[in-house]
Amino acid sequence: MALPAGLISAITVTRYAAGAYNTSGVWVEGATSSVTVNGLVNPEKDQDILMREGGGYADGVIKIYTNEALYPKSGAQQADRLTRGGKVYEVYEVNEPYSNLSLDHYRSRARRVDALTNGA
Amino acid sequence: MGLSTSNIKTALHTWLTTTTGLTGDKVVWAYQNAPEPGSDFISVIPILSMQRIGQDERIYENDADILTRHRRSIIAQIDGYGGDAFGIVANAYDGLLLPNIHAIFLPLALSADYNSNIRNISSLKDGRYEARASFDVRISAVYDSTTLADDLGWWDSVQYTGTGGMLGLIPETTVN
Repeated sequence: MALPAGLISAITVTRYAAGAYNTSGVWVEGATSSVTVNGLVNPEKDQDILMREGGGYADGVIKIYTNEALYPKSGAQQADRLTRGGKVYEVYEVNEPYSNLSLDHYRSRARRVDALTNGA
Repeated sequence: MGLSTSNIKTALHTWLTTTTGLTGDKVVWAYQNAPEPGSDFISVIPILSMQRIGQDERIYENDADILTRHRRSIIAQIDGYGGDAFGIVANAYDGLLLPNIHAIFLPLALSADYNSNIRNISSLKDGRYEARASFDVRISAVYDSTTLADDLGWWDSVQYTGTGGMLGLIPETTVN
């Protein structure tokens, strides 16, 4: 089932059109647009344990549950970004809904980014 | 003016596009948080390391400013990707010392020379081998920087007065 209306709110996401390298070898991001999705965001913890093969810890990660799809980086498509508490987060993982269960919402993770991690 | 990373990048990019035949958007800079441009392509780390060559030369100018001339050895890393990764990188390698390539670096107070062999660094990508080749190039750079006398802390104030025929005409004066 979709996320219950009482739990969700509108989340504004920055979505990018496909970018491209210019003739100097510099990546130029695509144009941005604001998209509203409905869902909820689990706040960032100091350190989050990701239970997956090999295990691991991650800092600066938020979990997002939405009725609509978010998009991680894929090819020339830059990842969706959203701002929470003055910090910018970039979606890096999106789990599709399980069609054979009654969980038809998307579960995504986004990692905090800042000027120091925007590339060099 | 200090080190010009843009000059180094301009020279590297022109050399690589000239010798490999790749278009400018296929010779890209590493660490941009950006997707691969699609094979074949070259990724460049323009400054992998930088080393001082000898002592910096200090020139004391008439106005007490200091001009410092820096000589540096900079290592850049050239990584080729794609089916003909080794061939593309070899073309760049072979052309490095040609006069037309030398002419790209020289006006920017740069020169380039070999710093390594070409290495086959093919590796797994999504469970399949991707052809990769890499080598380092050494760039010699010369650039100046100026330190203003006011910033050197040599004096806080200047005191002057007239002497000889000017005695009494110029009173003792202090400028802070």
